[in-house]
Amino acid sequence: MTADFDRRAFLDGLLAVGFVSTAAAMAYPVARYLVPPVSGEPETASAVAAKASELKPNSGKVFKFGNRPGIVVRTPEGELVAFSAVCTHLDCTVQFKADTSQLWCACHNGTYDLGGNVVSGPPPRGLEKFAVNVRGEGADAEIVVSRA
Amino acid sequence: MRRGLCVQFLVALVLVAARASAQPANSCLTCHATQQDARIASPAALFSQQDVHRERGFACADCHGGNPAATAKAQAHDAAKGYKGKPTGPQIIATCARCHSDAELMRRFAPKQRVDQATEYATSVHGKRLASGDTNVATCVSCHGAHGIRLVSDAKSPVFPTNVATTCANCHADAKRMAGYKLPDGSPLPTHQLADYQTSVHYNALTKGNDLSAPTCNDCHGNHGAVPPGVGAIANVCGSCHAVFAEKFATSVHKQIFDKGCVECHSNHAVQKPSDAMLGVTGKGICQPCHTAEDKGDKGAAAAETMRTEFEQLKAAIDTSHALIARVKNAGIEVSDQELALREAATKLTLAHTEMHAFEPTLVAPIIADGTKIAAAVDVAGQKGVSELEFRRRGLAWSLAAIVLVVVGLALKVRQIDQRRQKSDV
Repeated sequence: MTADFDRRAFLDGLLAVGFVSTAAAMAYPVARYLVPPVSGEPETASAVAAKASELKPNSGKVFKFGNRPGIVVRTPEGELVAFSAVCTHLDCTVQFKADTSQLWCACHNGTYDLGGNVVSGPPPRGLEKFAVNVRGEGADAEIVVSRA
Repeated sequence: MRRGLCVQFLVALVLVAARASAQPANSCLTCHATQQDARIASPAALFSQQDVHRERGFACADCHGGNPAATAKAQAHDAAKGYKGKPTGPQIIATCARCHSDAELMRRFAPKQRVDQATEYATSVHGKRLASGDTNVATCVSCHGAHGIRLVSDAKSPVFPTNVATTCANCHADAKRMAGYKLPDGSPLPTHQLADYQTSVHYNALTKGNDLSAPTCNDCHGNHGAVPPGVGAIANVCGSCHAVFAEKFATSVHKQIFDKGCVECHSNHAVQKPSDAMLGVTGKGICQPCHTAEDKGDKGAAAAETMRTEFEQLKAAIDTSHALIARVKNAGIEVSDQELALREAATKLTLAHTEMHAFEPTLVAPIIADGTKIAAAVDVAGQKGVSELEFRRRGLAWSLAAIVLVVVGLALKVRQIDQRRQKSDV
């Protein structure tokens, strides 16, 4: 009788532990969904900047590189280069100036050459340079920009 | 084999001895290094360590004259051999300029280096005072040192960008040394420039931001031709880096009124990080006392207050949108387009701050309007994200409720089956 009672109590306890564990396993992800942890910024590795046919020599295009702007330029010689379009001075977005073939920040007149180096103005350092690859051929070829 | 090695060793010895005998004798270092008086011994010690001139083959006699081959003091310090001892005042400039103003000679050692330092120095306040007989002023050695001179690019050089302010302050923060000197307006030359500069945004960028292009003393005053920027030239000096501000300021009504240009609002040595609070005639607004809030007809006061209000409103809109987007993003909803748009809104705010230097509210308003429009669009997207989030949460609540209902139902069903079984057993 006592042995039977002990076995039953043991099984009830085991069942209770299993039930509580299952409930916790269900409740935890629900709680995490409702109150999510602060997530870090995932770093974008690469992005399609433009169709290759879009960019004529001596022209540039600002594109979305994750949550930051990037800029891809086809130099007057036809080479493709890409940089972060975030000015290193106060984070404004730089643009391509065709008349000088330079990257220019309108906020404080910072200028960079097509190597990303500071030419003039207040930027303390050059622009982050990205690697550029062309994927595909013909009219559908895409300019893929990646972190170097 | 062994004999061959011996011959090689002897040849090497002879070559080393020949090389040693080819070195010019320098009795200056030998003799001065053994002197007890530190004033006499330390120059030799410093010159023997790291010195850009010694490393390029120059010796004591190239500046001090004399006969370095002689071992007796009288012959070594022979005036007939050009001995001039310790150069002072104008002699220092002449001694350094003998090489540093010689383009042909300098090309052999430092082809990129300028050769107009002495000419520039003659135009400086230091040079002019020296020419008038004041030997208390700075000469070449005051900044570069006399012995143990390092390249300007050497971080330990007293004229390396991060060390320039302290080097200038060696004299300019010394109240005793500066006593009697006056500014062009007749007021005493202050000695708190270094203390002021060390509170500035420029000093912060240079020393904490690792930005060696941030200005220090010589970037505004010149180095060899050091003078205080004259009235009317200040905007040009600041504009050499802050070009757009200088351009906008040149179109403003203040251009004709502000004798000291940029300095009137931003100070000179203690330039602080600008804030919206500076703009206006209330609180920390620096437009007072020229403009006052009490004068309701003061167009300048009204313009300043209008622009500040617009800046604050756009900044608040961006901050609010940022917080909203961050909340939605943290819940796992894609918002990179909105983040990008907010960067554009922030760019508009910076552009508006720049445009403000023309002191014309009608030029600022359209830029602010653009920024506000972007922030408003981001808000709409953010609110959609919040709605989506609430929808997902409601969906989760309904799913959970359904699951709990099923579990409870199952439990009741099991209990009912048990009860039936017990009854049938009875």
